[in-house]
Amino acid sequence: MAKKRILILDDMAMNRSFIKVFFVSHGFETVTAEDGLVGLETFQKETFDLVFSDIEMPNLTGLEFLKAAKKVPGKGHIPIVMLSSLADEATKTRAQTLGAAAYIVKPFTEEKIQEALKPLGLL
Amino acid sequence: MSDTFSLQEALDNLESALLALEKTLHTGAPAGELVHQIFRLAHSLKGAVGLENLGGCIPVLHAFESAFDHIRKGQGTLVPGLLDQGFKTVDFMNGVLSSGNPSEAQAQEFLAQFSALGVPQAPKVLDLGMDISREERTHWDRALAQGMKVWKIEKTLSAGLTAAQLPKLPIWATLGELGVVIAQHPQAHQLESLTGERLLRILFASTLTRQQLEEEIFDPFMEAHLPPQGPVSRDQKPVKILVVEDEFSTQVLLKKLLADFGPVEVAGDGLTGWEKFLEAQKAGQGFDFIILDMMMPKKNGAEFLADLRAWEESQGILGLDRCKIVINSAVGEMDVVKKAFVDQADGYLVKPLTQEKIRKALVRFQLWGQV
Repeated sequence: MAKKRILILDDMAMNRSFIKVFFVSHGFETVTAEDGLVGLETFQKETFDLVFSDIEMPNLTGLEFLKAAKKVPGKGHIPIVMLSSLADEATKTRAQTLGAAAYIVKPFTEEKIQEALKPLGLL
Repeated sequence: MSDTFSLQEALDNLESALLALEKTLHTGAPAGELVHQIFRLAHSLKGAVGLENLGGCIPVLHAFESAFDHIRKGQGTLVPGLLDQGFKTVDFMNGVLSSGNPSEAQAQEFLAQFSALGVPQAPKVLDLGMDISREERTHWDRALAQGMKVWKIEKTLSAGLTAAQLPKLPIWATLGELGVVIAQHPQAHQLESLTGERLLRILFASTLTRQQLEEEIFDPFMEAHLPPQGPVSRDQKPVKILVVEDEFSTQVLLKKLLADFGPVEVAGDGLTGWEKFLEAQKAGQGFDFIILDMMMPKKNGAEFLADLRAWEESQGILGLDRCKIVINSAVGEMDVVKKAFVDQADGYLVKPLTQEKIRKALVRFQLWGQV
C-alpha cells in the first residue's frame, strides 16, 4: 500500500525536522519546504494527503498559502493544518474560514498533533 | 538552510543585534532593519524553546517579540528602557539555558518589567519608509479624490527570493482584486542590492473597509498618510547611465549600486562605450551620466573622453548641457585623474565605490533631487 504523503511548510528548520520525524515514524512520506511560494508550487505539482503549514513565513504567509491551495483544482479536499505561535481567536477564525482542517498553537507537541489529526482519520 | 539550530547561538545573535541597535541611537543611523532582525530572532527563539522543554520562558519571549513587533509595524517607538529590557531578556534567557525553566513567579516578575515600560503610541504621521515619485504621488492624490484610502502593507521577503519570483507572489493578484497598487519598494531590479532583512513595502488604495481588507490581506498593514509638508518625494526622472569599464567585478558592482537611479548600460571597452554613446545620441536618448574607467582595451578612457567632448563641441553642446562624466579611479591613480580633468571630465569617484558616493555626485550635477 502506497505511503501517505505530507507536505510540511515552515521557515524554521527545527520545526520542519520535528514534524518530519513525527510523520516518518507514523509511516508517511514527507516533503518539506522552507518557503510558502515554493511550497505552493510543490503542492500544485505533486500529490499529497495532508499539509502542515506555518502561518508566519516570508514571501507567502500560511494563510495566503491556505487560500491559494484551496483553489487548486481537484485538491480542495486535502486537509491543511495550520501551525502558529499566534493564539489569538481572530487568526484562528480566519484560518477556519479559509478552510483549515485544524489549528495548532506552538509550541507543538506530539499530543497536539495527534489530537488535531484524530478527526481526520489519517493516523 | 542547515537543519541544526543552537539556542545559544540565536541568543548570541540577538545580543549582537541589540548592541548594534544601541549604537544607532548614538549615531542616528537607520535602525529599521535591526528592529526587524531582533523581532525575527525573538520569534525564532520562542518557537525553539518550546521544543527544548523550556516553555516556561515563552511568555517572556512573547512579550519581548511583541514589543518589537509593535515598533516594526509603526505602532510604537523604541525607548531606551526597552533596549535595556532587551539586554535583561538576554541575561534572563542565558540563565534559563544554564539552569532550566524559570518558575512561574520568576517569569511573572520579569513580565511585569515589560508592562511597566509600555510602548508609546506612534505619531499620527506615519513614516512611509520609502520614497515615492511625483507620478506615484499623483496616483495617491487621485485615489483619495475618488474616496479611497491608502494603505501600507509590509511583507517579509526571504533572502533567497529572486527578482523573477517577486512579481509572482500571490499578494499582487490579491491586491489587484481589492484595489490598485500605487507604489512598491523594492522593485524587482532593486532586490539584489538590498542588504539585511528584506522587506517589501506596498502602497495600495482601495474603497474597501479595513475589516473587509483583513479578510483577504494577511500581512501587517496600516493606513498611510502623507505628512502635510510633503514626503521625501522627488520630481525625479530616471538618470540614464553608461558604465565604461573592462573589469567584470566592477561592472557587476556598479550595476547594483546604480540600479536605484535609473537604467544602466555597460560597455566592456572604450570602443563599445563610444558606439553605445553615439547610438543613444542618434536615438535622441543620450546618456545623462557616464562612469569611465581610464585603463581599457581598444580605446582607453582618455581617448574616449577626448572624442566625446570633441563630438559635443561639434554639435554645439556646451557647458552644463554636456554629458556628465566621472572617472572611476583608485587612490593611487591621482595623476591619471588630474589629466582627465584637464581633458574635461567632470569629476571622479574614488574606490571603494558606494551608493552614497554616487548619489552625492548625481546631486552635485543636479541629476538627482536633494534628500
